[in-house]
Amino acid sequence: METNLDQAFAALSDPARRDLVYRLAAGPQTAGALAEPYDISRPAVSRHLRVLREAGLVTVETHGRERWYSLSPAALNDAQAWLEEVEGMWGAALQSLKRFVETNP
Amino acid sequence: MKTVQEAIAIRASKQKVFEAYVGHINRWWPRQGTYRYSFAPAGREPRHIVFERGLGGRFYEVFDDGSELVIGHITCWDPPNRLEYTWRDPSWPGQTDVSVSFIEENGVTTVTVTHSGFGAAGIPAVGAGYHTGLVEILAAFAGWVADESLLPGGPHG
Repeated sequence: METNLDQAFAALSDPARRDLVYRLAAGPQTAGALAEPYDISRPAVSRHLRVLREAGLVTVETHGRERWYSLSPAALNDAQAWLEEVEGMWGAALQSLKRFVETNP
Repeated sequence: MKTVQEAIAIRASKQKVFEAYVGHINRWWPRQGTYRYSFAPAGREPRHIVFERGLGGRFYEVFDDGSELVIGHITCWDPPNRLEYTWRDPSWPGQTDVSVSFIEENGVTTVTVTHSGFGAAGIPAVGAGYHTGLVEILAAFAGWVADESLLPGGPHG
């Protein structure tokens, strides 16, 4: 999971890639549709999509002549699992604080 | 934006609970268990965890080889009511914020920890529908990186 997260963070450090991810959150899109609003070239958008794919953040499926990109639920589940871990850590830490205070009058 | 919040009621005055939280964290902060409580690198054991009292004070760990790791700095020092500090896991690209409030009623102090800042301000809103819940998490996820770019090196506050 850590390797995935590290790679995902690195992938998301670029504003153009973050923007692609936000747009994919609305649903799967083709590479062409994703490239449309940008001033940058379609090959540049393809490169960004490849970085996102290698980080496990997006998946791609080919239908006919089009490549459709989607957000990858697996990567998001990693982030979710991580946040749950932070929650668990605080729950346990506060229990420990309570024990300490209530047993040390 | 995703925020982690946990609270607990402790039978003691807020003065005592605040003092325990800051002054004696080394005695109650868990060392091992289900979760990761230390940022000790591989091969190192955690020895101490310390708050330096007052605004700007460091929150840091000391490992068994004597090396230190600063996790964050105190950004709000208001004993015995409120404590805020930054929190950075060395494996994250950006820092987050921890806010702790101490509210006493009838001899019982409620300690509430709010861990936030997983996302930066300015994360664009995403349309409802597809993946809505997950998008929130992803925004948080992406936000760590954005936080980093807003705060080049070092603590804020």
